[in-house]
Amino acid sequence: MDTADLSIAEMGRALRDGSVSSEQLTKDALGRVAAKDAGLHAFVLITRDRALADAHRADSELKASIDRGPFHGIPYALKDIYDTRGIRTTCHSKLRINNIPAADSVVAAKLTEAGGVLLGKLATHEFALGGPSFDLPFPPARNPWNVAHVTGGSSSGSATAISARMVRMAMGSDTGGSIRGPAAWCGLAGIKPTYGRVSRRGVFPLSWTLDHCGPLSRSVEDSAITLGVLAGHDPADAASADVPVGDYVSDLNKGVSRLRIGIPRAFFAGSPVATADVLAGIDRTADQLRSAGATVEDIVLPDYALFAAAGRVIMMAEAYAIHEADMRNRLLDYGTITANRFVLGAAIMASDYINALRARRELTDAVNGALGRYDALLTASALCPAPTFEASVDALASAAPMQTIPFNVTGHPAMSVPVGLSSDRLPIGVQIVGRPFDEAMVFRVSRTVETLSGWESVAPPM
Amino acid sequence: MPSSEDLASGDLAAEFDILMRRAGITVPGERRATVLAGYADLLGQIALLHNRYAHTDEPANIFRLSPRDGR
Repeated sequence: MDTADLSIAEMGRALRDGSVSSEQLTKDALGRVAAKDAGLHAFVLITRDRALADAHRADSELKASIDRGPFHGIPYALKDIYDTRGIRTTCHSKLRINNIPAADSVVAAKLTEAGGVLLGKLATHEFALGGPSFDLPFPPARNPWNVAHVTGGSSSGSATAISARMVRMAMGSDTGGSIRGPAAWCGLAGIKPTYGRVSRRGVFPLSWTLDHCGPLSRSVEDSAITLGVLAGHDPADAASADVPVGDYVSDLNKGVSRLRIGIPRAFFAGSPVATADVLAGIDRTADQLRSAGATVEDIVLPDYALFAAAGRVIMMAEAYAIHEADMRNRLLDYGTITANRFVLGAAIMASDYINALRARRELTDAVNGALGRYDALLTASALCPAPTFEASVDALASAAPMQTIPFNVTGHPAMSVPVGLSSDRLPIGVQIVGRPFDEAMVFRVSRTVETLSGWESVAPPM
Repeated sequence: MPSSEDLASGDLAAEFDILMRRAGITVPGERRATVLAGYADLLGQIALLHNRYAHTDEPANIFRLSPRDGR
């Protein structure tokens, strides 16, 4: 059995009917990593012994009729900002190159408790912001669709590992688009859940009020299954929301008949950065949703530039507060790109930060208002396909191609889902946004988009 | 908040140098042009947030005292 393309649900069925073991899934995955990663640099650490031990436990438990649920025996990997007990966690930085956490992050602990198999730790932009860079302890991950192109960041290794078929799901984090951006540029599904939905405890912060934890995966269903494992209240995370967790899988294939979907067209229309391929992808998706029975209309939200400004100021101010002492004393130990971005936080005045938080309230009210009239929003994930390393720009600059930060500012759940390939055969994604804590609707609409776009018949890069 | 004239002059660089000195940060000379360009771009975004709100418009994360679990 070729296990590389089995979904999480298919792996689960095969594990339970005895046609495959977790040990086999794990050895196959480790084999793919060994064969492919030298040229892609997805992994900064491969935890082979841990993976085989996890797999052995999963198999033994299933034989003893102990079933930990849909993630039991499934291989996965973690972005290297998630603390893992006894396993080096570097943030892809010289500053934390010898950091061995004493405890698991909540996400790592939940995946272990769910029976998952940890294959290793994945490349990231340094401290989830600075990259892609060639002056860090590990090389930058490369885009499997074309290795001359970036993956997007900061969950770069996560996107590479899944896109190259090494693993079906990997955890990312998203402060301004670090899950959805790499998902869009590598042809993957990636969800930033509602702020507070998944515990951030044990994940190195970039910006406390913008940070979200979530999965990237080959399919919408894979992400829905994973979020079901991860979602839930953590009283020890100050931002964690005590809101019931729904069933993210049962409504996946209900379609979009009679749903209302709004498009904030001014976000992307007329942008000099937007390519014809991306704009056509959004229009094609809108037409497909209409043909499936949804009402799809253009809507008006506040200017995109205001969302981007609020997001950048909040992120830079909070990140600088975290890195202030190291900026002063160890600036040259950071990668150049990281340092150049973080020092700008020293130039933000208190009133700038507070005005950004006032904008945040205005913008959140506006998006909530729109989602009072619509079940979901459809917009761009990125305005262009993945650029080359030489053409890559600061993801927070005013001219950046990502369109993801508005929903970090407002906290709404948002997912990138692939809809096709550009003329250069690079993936294009769209973004689906939902009401607070209604990830089930985001998955349902995204699954419909995934089906109607024909993406499932597009062969991943070999 | 610097004006567009400031941005076009050396005032922007002088202002940035003061801010870095106050923060105790030494930006290497070879990085200075890149960081200054980033600063100018950031200031353009900050300008969008000013003179927009009345005194009644409170920040999103206004302080709230909520005793919990007896702590």
